[in-house]
Amino acid sequence: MSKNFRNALFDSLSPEYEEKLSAQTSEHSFSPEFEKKMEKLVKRRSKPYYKLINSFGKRVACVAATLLIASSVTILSVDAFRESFANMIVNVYEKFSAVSSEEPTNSPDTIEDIYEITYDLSDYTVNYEEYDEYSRNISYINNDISINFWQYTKKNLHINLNTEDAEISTVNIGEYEAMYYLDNHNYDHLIWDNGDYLILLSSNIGKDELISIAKTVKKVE
Amino acid sequence: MLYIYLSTLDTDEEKDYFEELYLKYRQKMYGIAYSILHNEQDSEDAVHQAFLKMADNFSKILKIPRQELPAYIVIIIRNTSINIYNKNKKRSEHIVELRDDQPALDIDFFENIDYEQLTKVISQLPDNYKDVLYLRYVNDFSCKEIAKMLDISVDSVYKRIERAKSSLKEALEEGGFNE
Repeated sequence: MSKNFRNALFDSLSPEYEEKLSAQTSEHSFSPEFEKKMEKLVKRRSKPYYKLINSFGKRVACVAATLLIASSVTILSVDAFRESFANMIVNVYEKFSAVSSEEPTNSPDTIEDIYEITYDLSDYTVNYEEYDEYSRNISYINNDISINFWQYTKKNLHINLNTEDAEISTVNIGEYEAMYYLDNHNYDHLIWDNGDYLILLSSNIGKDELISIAKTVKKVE
Repeated sequence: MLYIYLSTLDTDEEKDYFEELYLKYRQKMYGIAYSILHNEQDSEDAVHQAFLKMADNFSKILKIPRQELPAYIVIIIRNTSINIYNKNKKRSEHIVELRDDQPALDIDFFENIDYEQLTKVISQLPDNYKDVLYLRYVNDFSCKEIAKMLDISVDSVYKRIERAKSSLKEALEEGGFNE
């Protein structure tokens, strides 16, 4: 497949879709009929799809096992890799990795402390912001360079990472060891657990610069 | 300790994720639906139908990276709302037919196109073309899966994708779309 075409679609349309979504400020009170229908849908989700999910899971498990064996050089520092992701579960699949919490009992249930990038981003503008009880997301943009920051609570954490064709390794971010990979859109990604929250940074600014930015992420409130 | 689990997916976890998406996006999806339908009941129906479709495709949705999820959400609710609007107005979808002799355009055609020029013409495409191209080439859905999501035939998906690529090619050759 043409990577040029795929990347062009992603780069030109993703901001447009994100802007469309973030512009919505509806506070609609849904009707009882709607709430009832949706409650049923959410409840019955597990049964009809169990077989599909189960067979899918087995398939990706086989692929993932092969990938891990093949990439033993990349993940040679298994002990360090494990050590750095206290309480994190990483499911590595063929085209993505799913990160979720293992033992979030000691971390805040909701966002209580605000973490932000304190690096000088005066040349950038904020083009997307989304906050809720469990996560914070800010995207900065300067021409073709974008920097995306996420702060997640570890409770109810379930994030999917695009690790298709990516080599996963670790880098040091101050006192923390972060998971690092370059995705197939040429975006570098850093994910680390700072004890209370999971921090995720992604950008096409370049690995070294992104690590410098990551080191400035601090609690600001 | 980090554990890399190679176990099967946990159905409870899947269910939690579905509920999380529902709680996180339902208001925004309603807002998009209402902007098209201007009717509370129809907008709620659109949100419900969109989540039914998402439930049907959930194994694929799990593979969509976070940064691509807003696009998927917008595409699914926008097209569901447009379908409801068209049904209400008893309008049939207008599909631009390809000539029988028009060959499918291989996307390798775009491999060596100037990146800036390519992103510019993509951003000028009509929404229905943008949506199918994004679902097909970024989210990696098959034409059959897209057809199910958008409530149109597989043939219509194929034609819309081909028409979108042809429009891009024409625009690139002419230096952009006519305003």
